[in-house]
Amino acid sequence: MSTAAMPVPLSAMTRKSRLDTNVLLVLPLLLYFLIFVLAPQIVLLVMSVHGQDGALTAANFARALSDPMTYGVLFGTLRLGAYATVATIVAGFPYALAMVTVGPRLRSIMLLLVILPLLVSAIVRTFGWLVTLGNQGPINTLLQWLGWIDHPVRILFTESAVVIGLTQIELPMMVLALYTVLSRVDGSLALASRSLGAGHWRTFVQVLLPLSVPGLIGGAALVFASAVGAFVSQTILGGGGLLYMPMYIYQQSILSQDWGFAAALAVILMITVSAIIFAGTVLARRSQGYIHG
Amino acid sequence: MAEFTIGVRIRRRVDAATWRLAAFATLALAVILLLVPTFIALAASFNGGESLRFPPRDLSWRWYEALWSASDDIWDAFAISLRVSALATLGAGLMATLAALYLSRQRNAWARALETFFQSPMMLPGISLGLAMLVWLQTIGVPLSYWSLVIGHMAISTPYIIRTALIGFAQIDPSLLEASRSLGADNTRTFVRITLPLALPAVLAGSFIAFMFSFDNVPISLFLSDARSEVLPIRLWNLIENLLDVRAAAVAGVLIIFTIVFALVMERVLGVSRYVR
Repeated sequence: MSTAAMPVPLSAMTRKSRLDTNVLLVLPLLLYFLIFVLAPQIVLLVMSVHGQDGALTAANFARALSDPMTYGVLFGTLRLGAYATVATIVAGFPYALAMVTVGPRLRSIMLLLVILPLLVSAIVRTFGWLVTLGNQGPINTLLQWLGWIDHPVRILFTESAVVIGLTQIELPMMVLALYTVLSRVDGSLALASRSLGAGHWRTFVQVLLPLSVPGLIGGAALVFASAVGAFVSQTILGGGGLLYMPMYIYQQSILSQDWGFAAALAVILMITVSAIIFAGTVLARRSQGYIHG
Repeated sequence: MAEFTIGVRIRRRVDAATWRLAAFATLALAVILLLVPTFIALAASFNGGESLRFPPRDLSWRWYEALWSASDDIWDAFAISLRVSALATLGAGLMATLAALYLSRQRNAWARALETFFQSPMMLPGISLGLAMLVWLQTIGVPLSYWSLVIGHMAISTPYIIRTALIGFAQIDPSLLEASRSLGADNTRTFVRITLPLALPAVLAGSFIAFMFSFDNVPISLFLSDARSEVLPIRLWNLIENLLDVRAAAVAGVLIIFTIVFALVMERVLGVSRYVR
């Protein structure tokens, strides 16, 4: 009845006005992002090629790229990201796979077990590692009690400590990315593979792994980006002896007030990280296309 | 023939056994890894001595007492953090929900590009984002204050809320909206009475996650706060760097309990885990 009563021009009119209001919906956030996210990035870029006399210069980049220290710090930071990414995949894949296979009750417990640490402050978790890996922490206490070592071994303030901490902090991200993808994989595929004679390992390598590539890419990009920028964990677990890019940038900007150089370092970090994530994505997509013929 | 079958059978047994062993070993490792630091941090906070050790030598509440009675610095930082994160989540929540409503109705490349743009603060190193914002605010002459902190935190809160809000809007049955309109409700009324209530749990779940991450953020806060507005994570970081101040353990303990209780309540009320993807 109401459809018959509704005149055609009115509905056309509402459709038109709806389109206009729709754009208004996105406008506040778009404006905010243009002013406070995009513009700052552009200014950072400009600042990195800005000399002290105000002229356009490549001096900051030349200084950064001719200094062996930049490469040392940058390479160390990227290696940290790579280690953390691989470690989260190794530890996270079985977890995500188990989440898909278990019953709904156990699954919700496992999901909670992943989300809770994710929500507990990263600083608090870093602090937990500080105690755990310390000379008077449980690992050293246990090893001494077992009689394997006489004196506490130094784990804290080494690269391993940072990698362990970052792996824990980023693990939930990887598990969630893999779980999302694996839960969409048709369970009968693995069953079919096994009933056709392939073992568990072969099914995993030839069926499950290729199918989970999108989750692996997404998770790896997230983990890598966030591990490379994990300022607090790097500083606390790495101690004063290890320098990574975020701290280097912070030192150059706030402590040395060398803004142009800090901006150049930040641009170098952003470009390298984006390039690696982009290359990884392209490579993974290609290999996936290859696998599926 | 018989030998062949036995060979196959053995290989199958080995395959299944090694698979199970590897699966259980890594699973156990993951569970331990997930729980260890939180558990140890909590246990260390009851340490009676001056240094951080595990297992604690003698149990005591002394650091909690110190936190309660002689820690105005920590409480001030806590109050600022609470206000900044609440305001940032509110601002980002309002803008991101409206934007997600628009994005959920559009399926073109422009909308997808916008979505990526709104997600970008999650992929950028926090340090570059913070540095860039600081430089920009100085360029346009905005002094550092409590408000510059709120502006910065809104950027890092947005991705989480956009994400869950999009899931929330996508889950609404379109026939409900059609029904509302055909019954004479206009767009605004349909949004307020149908769309918003149905998407609200998703928006609130995203806001909760955004709040927790904003509350924990260091890089943005480090660049955008002035001397008077120190947030809790930075205060806590300073306490941890200064290893003798074991009050850090008590703060960690309080935060752990607060987070677990808050998260369990939110999970009960909103079903947060449904929206974490």
